[in-house]
Amino acid sequence: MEPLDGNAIGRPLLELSGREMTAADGAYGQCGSVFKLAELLVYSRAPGR
Amino acid sequence: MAEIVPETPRATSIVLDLPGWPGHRAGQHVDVRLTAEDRYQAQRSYSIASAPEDGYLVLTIELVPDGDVSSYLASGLRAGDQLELRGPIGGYFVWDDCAREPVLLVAGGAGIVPFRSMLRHRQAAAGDVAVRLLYSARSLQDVIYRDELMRFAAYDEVDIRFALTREWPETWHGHRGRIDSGLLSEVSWPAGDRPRIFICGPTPFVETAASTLAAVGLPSGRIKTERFGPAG
Repeated sequence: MEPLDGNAIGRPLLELSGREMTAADGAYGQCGSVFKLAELLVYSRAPGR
Repeated sequence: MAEIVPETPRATSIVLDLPGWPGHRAGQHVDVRLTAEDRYQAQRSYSIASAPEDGYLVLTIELVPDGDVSSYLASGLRAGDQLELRGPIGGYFVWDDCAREPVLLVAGGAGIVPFRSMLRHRQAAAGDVAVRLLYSARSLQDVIYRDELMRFAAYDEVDIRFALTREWPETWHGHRGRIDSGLLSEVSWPAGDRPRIFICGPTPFVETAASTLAAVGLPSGRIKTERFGPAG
């Protein structure tokens, strides 16, 4: 299954939060590395869907 | 919907007249939702092909085999039809002409669409930022916006290269075959120039291009990617 990226969930994130979120920073809990939400891999047809 | 513009045998642009459109940034996308008479709904994301300065919105639809949404948008729409559209969306994969660093755009197939918006934006803003575009397409007839890209290439600061992966004319002097490290090394800016790099295309193309650029020494933090899947 080929993943997309965080850009693909820009609209639902916008509708949920009321703000543009793809350029928002996130951080890994373990190592603290910072990333942009748009850089996440998104499996829109994951098992169970 | 105001107008339909055939681009290639597999790609069609639709021009949308949107009173009250809040404006967009080059590289953003919209979500289009179609609702059938039986209330079945389908939704797809499309990059915006027009520049923020254009005054209308252009989406370019690549026909996907058996794709119900793409086939309807490309051939079922008529001037005057209305579409349900959400956007503009995205604040990551965008380029504004106030950025001064040189730009490298790497497109695979319909991944050229947001880059048309960026190139038109650069031109409308009379920008002088140096841009290199590497565009991988199956054949010359699959090159979307071919004439317009050739006009952009007439500017000294804009360098456009094509890579044709399946068919090419006998006299073709451009790259033959898939993009590789040699070609990417040739077109990429030195890391010291701190280029802004955008890659857009199908997931395997994006992953190959991004990892190859990182392998030839460009910092991965300067590389922004946008992938699209096969949903039709």
